Amino acid sequence: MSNLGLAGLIMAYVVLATFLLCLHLYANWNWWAKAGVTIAIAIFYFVTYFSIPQMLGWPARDGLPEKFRLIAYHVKDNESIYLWAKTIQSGTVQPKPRAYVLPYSESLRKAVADAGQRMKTGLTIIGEVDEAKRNLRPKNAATITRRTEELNITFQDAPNANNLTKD
Amino acid sequence: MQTMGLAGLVAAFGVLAALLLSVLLYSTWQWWIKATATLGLLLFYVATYLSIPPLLGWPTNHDVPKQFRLMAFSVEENQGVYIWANDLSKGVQIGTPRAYVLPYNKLLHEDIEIAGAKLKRGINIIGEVTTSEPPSSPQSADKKTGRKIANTVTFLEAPEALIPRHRR
Repeated sequence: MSNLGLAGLIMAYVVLATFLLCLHLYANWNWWAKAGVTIAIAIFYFVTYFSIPQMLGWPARDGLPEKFRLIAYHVKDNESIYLWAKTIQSGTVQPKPRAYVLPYSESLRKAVADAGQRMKTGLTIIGEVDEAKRNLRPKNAATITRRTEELNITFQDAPNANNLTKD
Repeated sequence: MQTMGLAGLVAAFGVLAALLLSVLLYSTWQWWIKATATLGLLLFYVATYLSIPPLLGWPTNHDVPKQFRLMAFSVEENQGVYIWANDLSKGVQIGTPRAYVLPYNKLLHEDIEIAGAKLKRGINIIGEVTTSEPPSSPQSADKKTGRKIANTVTFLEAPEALIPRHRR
């Protein structure tokens, strides 16, 4: 969840500000040393404030949900497969899509290309990640290796689009 | 650019590490205060390392390119128009697509649906941002200024010579 990431960052930055405060209160440094530290931390805040937004919008390597609605995909031959998908949680499709990048594999390429063809005919495609059933691969499942784990992704037509409610 | 963002972060974290080093070298603090500062900074690094990846992949309203190749879109009424696109200033070939969100307005919704129908037929679509800053309130902009300004993105069919039709 994006909120957790934001909360973590806020906490981390508050810790840093607290550190600076402690330094001002309890260190018997010269004023110029304290000013130097304050300026350095202000620069740090400033740089990260402008650097983090530049990283947003680019695909994530992790966090592919167990169940998702595929919106689009793009294959970079022999490099990566990009998915743009909406998380399905308790049968509800989340409104905001998220981009993911997965390592290239021939089986995943075939599976997404097939799903893409079905999507063009107007079908809703649901992707399911099943890390538990590694040895029980469905016929149309794509297996890719992510880090050291093997990941099965199956793309299926949504049985009835009405069963998926929008958040 | 993602790499520029990364470079900025690396530099910023380098500044913090340098700060810690100077504290360790030049302060007359007791060893346990220095150890706590080191531990605190380590925790800070770990927390940010774990916090940034969950922010990736979500659509951004920053740096929407002036010209982009539309790859996909999703519209949530009254929330936003999500687009997945490739910045054309980096060339016509699709590199890593980036996700953006534009403020919702009905005209943009209509136009992107038309562009989407063409996209489904295999026609490449180029989006052009006609106004750098979208109006804060699309509804009021519609009334005041009409279609041209309210609709900040124009969708055009890409010339076949520029981008050959995409075949998967």
